[in-house]
Amino acid sequence: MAELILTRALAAQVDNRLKHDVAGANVREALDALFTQHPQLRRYLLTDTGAVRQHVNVFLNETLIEDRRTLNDAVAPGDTIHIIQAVSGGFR
Amino acid sequence: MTYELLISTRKGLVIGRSEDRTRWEFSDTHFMGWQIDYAVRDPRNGRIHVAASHMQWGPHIHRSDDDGATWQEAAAPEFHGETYAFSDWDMENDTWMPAKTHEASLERVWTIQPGAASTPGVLYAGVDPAALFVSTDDGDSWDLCRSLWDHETRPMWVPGAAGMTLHHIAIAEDDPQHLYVGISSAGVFESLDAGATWTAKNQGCIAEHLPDPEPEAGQCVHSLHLHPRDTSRLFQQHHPGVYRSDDGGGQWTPIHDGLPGKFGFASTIDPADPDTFYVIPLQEDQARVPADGDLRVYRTTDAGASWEPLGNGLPDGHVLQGVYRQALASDGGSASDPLGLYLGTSGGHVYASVNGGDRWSELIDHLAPITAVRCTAIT
Repeated sequence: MAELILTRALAAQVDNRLKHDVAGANVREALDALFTQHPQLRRYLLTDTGAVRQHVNVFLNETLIEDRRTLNDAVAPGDTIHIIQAVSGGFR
Repeated sequence: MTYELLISTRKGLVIGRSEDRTRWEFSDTHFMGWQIDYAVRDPRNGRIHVAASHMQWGPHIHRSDDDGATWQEAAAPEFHGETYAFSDWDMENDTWMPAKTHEASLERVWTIQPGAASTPGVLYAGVDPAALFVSTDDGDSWDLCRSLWDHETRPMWVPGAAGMTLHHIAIAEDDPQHLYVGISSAGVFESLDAGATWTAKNQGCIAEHLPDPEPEAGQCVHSLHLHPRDTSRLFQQHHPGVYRSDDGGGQWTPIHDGLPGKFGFASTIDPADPDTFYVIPLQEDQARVPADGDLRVYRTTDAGASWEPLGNGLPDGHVLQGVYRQALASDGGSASDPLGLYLGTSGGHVYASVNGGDRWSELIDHLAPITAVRCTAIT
């Protein structure tokens, strides 16, 4: 299991639960596990093409992932995934 | 009778209610911080549909069955691997550049149009990238209208400043299979078979932004209205012009003579009179502010033969606020109440008139830029 930590704004969609245990061999599978628990989160994080939204950042063990489309970065048990809104998305 | 005013802003939704259209009570802000792209009450069942989007979290649809006391997130239209292509004009070589293919992903829901009274559960959604979605289960699910998505003129569609958007949907009151849509920048399209087939209806409109000024498609309609009493009568505020059609869109006639400018976004009709039309002229597209600095609504009561400025109660001088394409609306009026009009500015002010535009008063100010207003009489 990896630990997935949501930003507070996103956690508001799931009863303010910040931490989620997810199983998966890569970031895509970890996110799919999150969406299985909370399907409403998919649209908040991913576009219709399955890519991470432009102003959402995903960190794997505090490193920003660069593969935002296939999400193939490997995830090992005990890893931590942070999902945080990018400052570039500060709304006008 | 209670009137409900849904004010969509870039920072949330405000709901106004009034018994006399003079004294209004406004709600706290719903969806604080979210851009409300459109909000509308379905008169068939009282449900309020809200299209909201956020730079970080994308576009979503919410709905309320209790006048906004509580909200539920609903399904949003979704593209499933669809692609679309468009070309840009090569100014240097005076030709179209090769079309580029884009993967479709919902950027924004521009409008949600309840279907006819005789088709309960039917909703239409107009979105960016330009597409029509249809729901037959009151918004629980949405299907792409493929015939329009794959329309033969699609390569001629190009994005405007706000994206490639389907922003107006009109349904003939006497025939729920008779539909019109307005797309920027593609133009007006008509379906006589509930969306199974579509025909471009842009003849007579002048596209000043294109080297061929009268293309079949590629026209930049800004707002579009089909008259409920005379479904051969349409009006549109086009990018560089105001037009009327008397034959269901077969031919468009320019009616902007007499206006201080032919550019604008917002327009609305009087549902009791097919010859009455309202527009808010703005300086040409390089400025997009009210002509001469005065915010004015212009009214014609003779189908565009003449225009009358309506400014009593509207701000004079130095006005740098415009009115977006969905931010002018009527309440339809009634046997006892003359037509009410409502406009919201890009500076966050809402003005209303309870006498068809003869006199205006400010209802609320200091909101965020207003994307849309819609007013409904509810009993």
